[in-house]
Amino acid sequence: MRRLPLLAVPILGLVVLAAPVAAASTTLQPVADSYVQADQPSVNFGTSTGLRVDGSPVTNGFLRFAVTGLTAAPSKATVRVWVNATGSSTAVTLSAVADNTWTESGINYGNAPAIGAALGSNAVTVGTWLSYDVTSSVTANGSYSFALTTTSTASRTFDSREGANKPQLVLEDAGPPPPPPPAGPADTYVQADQPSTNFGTSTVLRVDGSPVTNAYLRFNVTGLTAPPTKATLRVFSQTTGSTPVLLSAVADTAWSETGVTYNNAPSIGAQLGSSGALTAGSWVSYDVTSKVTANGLYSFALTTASTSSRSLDSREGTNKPEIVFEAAPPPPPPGSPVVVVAGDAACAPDDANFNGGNGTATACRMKAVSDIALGISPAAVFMLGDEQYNSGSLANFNASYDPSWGRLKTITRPVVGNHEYGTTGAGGYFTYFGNAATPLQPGCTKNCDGWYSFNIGEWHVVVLNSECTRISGGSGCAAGSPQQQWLAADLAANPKQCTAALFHRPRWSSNSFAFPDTAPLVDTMYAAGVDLLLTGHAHSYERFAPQNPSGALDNANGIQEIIVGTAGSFFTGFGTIEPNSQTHKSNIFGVMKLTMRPTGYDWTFVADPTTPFTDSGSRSCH
Amino acid sequence: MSIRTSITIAAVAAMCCGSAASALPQAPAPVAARQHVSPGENPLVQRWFKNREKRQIELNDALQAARNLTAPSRAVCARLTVATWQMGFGPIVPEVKLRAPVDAGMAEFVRAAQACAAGDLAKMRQQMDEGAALRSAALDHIDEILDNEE
Repeated sequence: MRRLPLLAVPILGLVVLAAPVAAASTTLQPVADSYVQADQPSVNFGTSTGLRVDGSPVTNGFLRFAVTGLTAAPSKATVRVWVNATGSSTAVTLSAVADNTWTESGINYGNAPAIGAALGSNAVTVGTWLSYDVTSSVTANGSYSFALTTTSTASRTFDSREGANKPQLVLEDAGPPPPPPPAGPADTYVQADQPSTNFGTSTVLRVDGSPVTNAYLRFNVTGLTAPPTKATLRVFSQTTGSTPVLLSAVADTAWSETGVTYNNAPSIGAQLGSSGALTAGSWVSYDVTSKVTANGLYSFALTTASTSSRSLDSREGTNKPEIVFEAAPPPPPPGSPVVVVAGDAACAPDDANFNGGNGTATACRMKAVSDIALGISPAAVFMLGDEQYNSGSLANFNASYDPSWGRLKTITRPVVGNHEYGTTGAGGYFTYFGNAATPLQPGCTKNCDGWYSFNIGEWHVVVLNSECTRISGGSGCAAGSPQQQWLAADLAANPKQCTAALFHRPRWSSNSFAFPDTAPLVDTMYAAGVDLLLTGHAHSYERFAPQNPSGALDNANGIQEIIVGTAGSFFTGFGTIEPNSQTHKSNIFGVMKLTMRPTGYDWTFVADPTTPFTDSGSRSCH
Repeated sequence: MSIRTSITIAAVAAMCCGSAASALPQAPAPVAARQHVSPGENPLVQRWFKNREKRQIELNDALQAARNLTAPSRAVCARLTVATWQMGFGPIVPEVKLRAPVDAGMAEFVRAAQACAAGDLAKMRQQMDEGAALRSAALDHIDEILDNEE
């Protein structure tokens, strides 16, 4: 008896909220702020909602804070200003201003106080806080003035105290440090040109090679009762680019989401994986099975050599980072499992009919058809090949198949099709489905055999690779080929009353898509009493009467072939209808609902409402 | 802080909703409908492929038998010679675009049969590999033509 292949089942998705850091701090707003402008030397801008800063004409911002209530020098003092708009990223410098007598409604370029020593500089990114460490200046109660200046000739504007995000002076107590917060899930990024700035509340994680910008993630893994079969860390990319983002381990799990900066960021350890090329709007997956083996805290870093910034959704964003765990499959459903059958599914995102994944009336309807499948709540999905057009790349799998049919990935029994080989060795397919696609070769991700078998209910099912010219030296389905020999041995070792076979190219089809190379496999199947052959490749629905390998009617011992190439991609039609074709329908999308009874099967075609059609029936196994 | 744990057959769902809404790209105009009668639906092309089925199956089996050889075999080499020779029979495929790809690799298979007959199994395998690679690449081309994608 063959060992059951592992079925990928995500049992946990962990993206959890972190408690805020319990720092004892006081946040003050300015008691006065304004800016002054050299080409309008007598004009006062005290009521403006923005603090404008520019190098030409020279335009400087001024802020004053009134500090009270301190009983000791603060352990840390930070001035924070919100970037409302900017013409460039060139740094803005915060400097001390000794004169505290200026007034918000009176200051202008002509009477502005002298600007003292620079306290810090930060590059400017719109929509972020810039933080300046002023601990050395703010040591006791009193008034403190600061100036914002730049050498850039492109102006930038910070929110003033009349604006939405008012400037802040954050004072942290000098008392005993608060107990460390319980470490939990967290993410942020750090940026070399803003070395003291924390980005813990950002909705994105930025990664860049210049200026060096690294993202950090921490997961709190709970609920595992055994090492997972597979653990996959996923992040959602907002950026397209060919240079990959690398995932590395981080030993330090105590860093603070709201405290980590470039200056105090934990060191980055061994590389765990690479994203490959990035596609905006798609998930990036990293295999962290070797790293995440039990409950606990795990930290990771994302880095890149690219000098073009990459943006990924943070846990404050829409598509939060997550780790998906896969465990051993549940026992096969007893009785008469209901499965969904279809092939030829997902368009590539660059298909003109892709339409954000929703397709049109005649193409790219993978989302609508997979919705039908979800509504059936099947025990399994038999996906009959050409899962992902046009070349089966991993990026397209993640961008198109995953959000549609991928919602059923964990119960999917995949079949490799010709379009999967548009990527070398069907590497996208074998990587996306992992061991589910070739369970006889665990860990294989390219040029894998792609044939395997499993039991479901009282049935035995064989999955074959009909890309015969691409395996075993080009005659991979011939008599005596490794696949044919495996098939014969597998069927002999699994005598069941009901047996089905799945592969992509149909042996018989009422058009030119019939594929004779699989004939030796059909010979083997017929000799072993296989009842049902399910295929795709022809983008239509066609059900044949039971036939022998020569294509002659054989109700007693024949194999019934049903072509279900209707999972969403596009339509193809028919030529001359073959003699034993009982039902055939072109221009159709939908799935076949198959009930696998212990002694027979029932089929019902469930059509997409836009292409109404029905076909149903029952048959007993040999 | 909360920990969301779920057991689901579907992909792990997003845990909550982001507030930032991004503008959806405009739907591209649908591509023009494919031709009604593609080569894949042409009865003449269908018949041509069907007429060639037995010869193609025999060629595959003969190639596999030759690949399994560990010592020269007159019977196996003769089978391969006949199988390659028979592939030249029959009418020309009634679709001009298919004429080259349906014969891809055949010249190499003929040379493989000749090497087999000469007892040079290494050269035979080399020619078979080259023929198989050409035939595999041509099958992609055939698929595109049948789907009217070319």
